Amino acid sequence: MFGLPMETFYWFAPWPVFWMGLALVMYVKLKREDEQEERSLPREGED
Amino acid sequence: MNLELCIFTVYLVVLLMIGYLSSKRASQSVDDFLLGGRSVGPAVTAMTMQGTYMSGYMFMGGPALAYQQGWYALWYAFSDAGGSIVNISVLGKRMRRLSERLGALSPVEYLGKRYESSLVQLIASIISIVFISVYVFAQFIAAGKALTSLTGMPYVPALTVGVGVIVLYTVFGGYLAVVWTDFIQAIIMVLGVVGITAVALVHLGGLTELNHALTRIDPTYLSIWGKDLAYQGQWGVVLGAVLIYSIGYMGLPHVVVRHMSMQSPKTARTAILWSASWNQLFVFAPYLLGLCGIVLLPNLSDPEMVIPELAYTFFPGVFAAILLSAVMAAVMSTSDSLLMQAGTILSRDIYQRFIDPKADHRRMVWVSRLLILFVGVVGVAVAAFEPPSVFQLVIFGFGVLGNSFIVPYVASVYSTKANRVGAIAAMVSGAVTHILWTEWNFEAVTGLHPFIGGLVMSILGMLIGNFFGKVPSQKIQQEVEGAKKGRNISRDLDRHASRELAPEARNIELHFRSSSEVRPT
Repeated sequence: MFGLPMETFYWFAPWPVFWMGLALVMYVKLKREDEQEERSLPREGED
Repeated sequence: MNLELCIFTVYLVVLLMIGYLSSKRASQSVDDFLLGGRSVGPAVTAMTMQGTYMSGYMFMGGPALAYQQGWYALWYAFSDAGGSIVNISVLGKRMRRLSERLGALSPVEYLGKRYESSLVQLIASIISIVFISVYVFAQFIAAGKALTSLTGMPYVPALTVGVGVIVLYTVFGGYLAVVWTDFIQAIIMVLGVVGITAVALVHLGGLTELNHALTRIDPTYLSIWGKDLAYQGQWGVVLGAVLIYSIGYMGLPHVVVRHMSMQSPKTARTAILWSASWNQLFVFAPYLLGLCGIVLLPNLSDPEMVIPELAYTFFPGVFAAILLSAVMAAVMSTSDSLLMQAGTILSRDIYQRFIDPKADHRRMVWVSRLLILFVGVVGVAVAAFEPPSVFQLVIFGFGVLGNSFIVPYVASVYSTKANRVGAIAAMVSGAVTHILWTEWNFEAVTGLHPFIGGLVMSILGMLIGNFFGKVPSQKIQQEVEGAKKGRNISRDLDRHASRELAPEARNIELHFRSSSEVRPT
């Protein structure tokens, strides 16, 4: 692939995909946490 | 004046204007000067973090490594590409919350307050100042080299002009100027380097043709083990290369401070996506340019000049100007943050903590400004005296900072039991191990990167130290628990707490100052 030896290609090619996947997973996880916190917070004017 | 210089001059004027515009806000309070009033949104947080993190190393040290070792250098790029994701995910939200709960304005002050120890603060200050300085010297050297090739000026005047602009906007504009200039510089960096890489690859006939050309020169350039298979089977060295940049972020005070200045803890999640996308676009390009250099510039005497030389030899005119502006953007966006952080630590963690605890905000802002100026002048003097390799200096300074602070920062937000003895042991053992490992070349004996040695010793230092020290106070344990869970206050206050409370704090300070002026002595 791209003129690279197989070993180099298979060690290097997955990294960008892995990092973007991790970023998406962390985004969703933090979003869920934030939404849970939002639900547990009192609204403006509430005691 | 040639075209390159015209474009670059316009760019410098824009940076100075941002410094001037930010100076009004910066003078309002110490919080505004040091943290931009904790008002930085997700895109700017991500861009300033990346701009700060991707230093002159990315345009000089990284491409030089690729030029010398071939595809092996990409190990560093692949770890770099995920560093911000790990950093923001692990520390972002919790550190933003805990720093605000503890009222800490600098990453070093944060450690002192979290571990309830002046000694922690003092040791952290010393390590930070020494190795931030090493790091900043490397940036100044890169600035001098880049400007020399851009303008044709001799090294020392070029260095003075480049650093002079950085110091000026940092001194007057404070953190907000640094953050906004970093934002612009991060955009210039990605546009410049991606554009030139595309042009270079087209010039060579594409990535496949580049690799074929490399094979004809020396097939080991394509190996994951370096030229002549110099690192074959040394997984300890490879793992160190991957770890140093993927988790090393979390030990850099000038990067970690970005968590503290976020608009709210929720800023973290969007910042992750911004920085991850920016990284995948940017990080690989300088290394690919280093590989292009092997084919296009086979007789280069200084490998760190591979990008400037490529720009001038093959892409003169506008492309060269944009690329060299991008090089300077990388250098400047890191240098300003390093200077800002050094000034903050010296003013807040040394001057106010140990010399003048009653200094008001106006004095603190001016002390910070003078100290930033002082560090800048010392930096120019050192960089002018003897320019060593940017790559070696950055890796060394970066490694020591990472090994000193990763464990104390991570433990500070995840463990209620992490105490002052553990923090001191982690910082000292991490720093000393990295220094000795490098100095005595243990890498050759053990096959392990100094970063791994330092990290293991730092973790052990924290674990063992925690057995001997006093358990943190109930208050600190509650604050750490509170930072994990978020706070039980209204949404609006949660979002804008700092901004809404800052004027009140200022009024209280003014009230006390005016009361003390009329009070008979």
